[in-house]
Amino acid sequence: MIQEQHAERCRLYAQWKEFEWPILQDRMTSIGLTEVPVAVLIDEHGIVQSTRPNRKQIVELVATNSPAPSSPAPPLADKWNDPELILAGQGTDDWQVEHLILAGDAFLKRNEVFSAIDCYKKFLDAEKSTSNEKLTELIPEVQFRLGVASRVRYDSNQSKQSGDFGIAADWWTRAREGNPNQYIWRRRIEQYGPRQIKPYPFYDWIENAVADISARGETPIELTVRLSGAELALPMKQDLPATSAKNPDPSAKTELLDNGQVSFSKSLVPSRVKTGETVRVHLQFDPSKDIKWNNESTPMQVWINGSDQGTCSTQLMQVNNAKTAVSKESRVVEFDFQTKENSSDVELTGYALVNICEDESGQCLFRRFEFKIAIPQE
Amino acid sequence: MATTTQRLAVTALAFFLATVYISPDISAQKVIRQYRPVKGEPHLDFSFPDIRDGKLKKLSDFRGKKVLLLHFASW
Repeated sequence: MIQEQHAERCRLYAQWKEFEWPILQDRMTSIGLTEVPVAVLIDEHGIVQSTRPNRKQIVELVATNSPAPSSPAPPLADKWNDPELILAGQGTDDWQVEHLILAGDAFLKRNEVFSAIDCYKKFLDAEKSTSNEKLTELIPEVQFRLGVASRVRYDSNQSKQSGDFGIAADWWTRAREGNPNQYIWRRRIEQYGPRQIKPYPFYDWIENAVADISARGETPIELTVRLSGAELALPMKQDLPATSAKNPDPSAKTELLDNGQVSFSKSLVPSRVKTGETVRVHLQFDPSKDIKWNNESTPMQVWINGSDQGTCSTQLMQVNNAKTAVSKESRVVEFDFQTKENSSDVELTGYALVNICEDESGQCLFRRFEFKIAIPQE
Repeated sequence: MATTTQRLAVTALAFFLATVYISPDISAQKVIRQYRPVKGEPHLDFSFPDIRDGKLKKLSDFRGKKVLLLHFASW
């Protein structure tokens, strides 16, 4: 069982390690796991024989037949995988408001994210209109699920919505505030930033895995979700060394891009930061419908102006060109911003130098796209 | 040949069984905030997608087999 957000990474891991057993994904932490790793030995009747078993216990259990229980526990009814059936119970005597959460989970397991988000939000609305403490206790659980669903939507090419990554980070931040002891929730946020003083090597193994699998003559499973800088213990290759962090266009001589040819969104992890603390800023640039990136010129550069409210981990970032002559992928850069003690709300300014081509005329342009980044302080 | 009374009894029984086993009794399942398996007790049954094919699998699908349930992360 894994609780990771991105199943494809574990698929690659399983391919690398040649695991052949089933691996199930509970990205919502819906069975209430708060830490990993945890091992449980279960006999052929579904009875727990040991928690944290050692090798001897495992060998013994495999070698012996366990006595059957007098009344076997019934398996999970299939109706709990049917969100429509769960929701059909509304208005009946058996209905409980928390069934909205279970319906949301059932939708999310099918990747029906819009319906899942709808169910979770209905629970939060219903909770507001009651004074039921048991429902209030479930709020962090729902906030975490909303983060999961929003991030799934962000990663989905079919239903990507602008700002979903930032929304996910905000829900996760709130969930963690409601239950700071949930280790898996803490790690979920940490993997997206900011980079720790001693970064955790979440996915540093990926490079070795791809090399080893290829050396075996196999094709490594393709990863579609980009790794963020905080998921690697080593700095991201996009960060240029501080010694070369010179403002590439200090006098703003490059012509401005201001006709909506490029859209911009920012996500902050965590979504709210106290003064003196660090936030990871993810900036995403997308070409509009009729525009493409021109990959036959200089790479895109992103510059962040200095601020007296804090310090950037890097001011100059670069996005390498795709291999094709033109492309339309989202381009993401990241950096950490450490706020000063007693700082007020921060507004960073910066710009990106982009090479784009217009579809109709085929005209290619080199332009400066300016942006602002608001970082609210708590 | 069944009498009218016997037919009525069978019909009533069938209706009773249909009510008990087919109507959506959704009172049993709860949202779990923290689960700790207990030795000697049945493990909570669950259903999640397999990362390889996306198909839902239940823990109870493995009844009849010994299971080493390992909660882990590739990070």
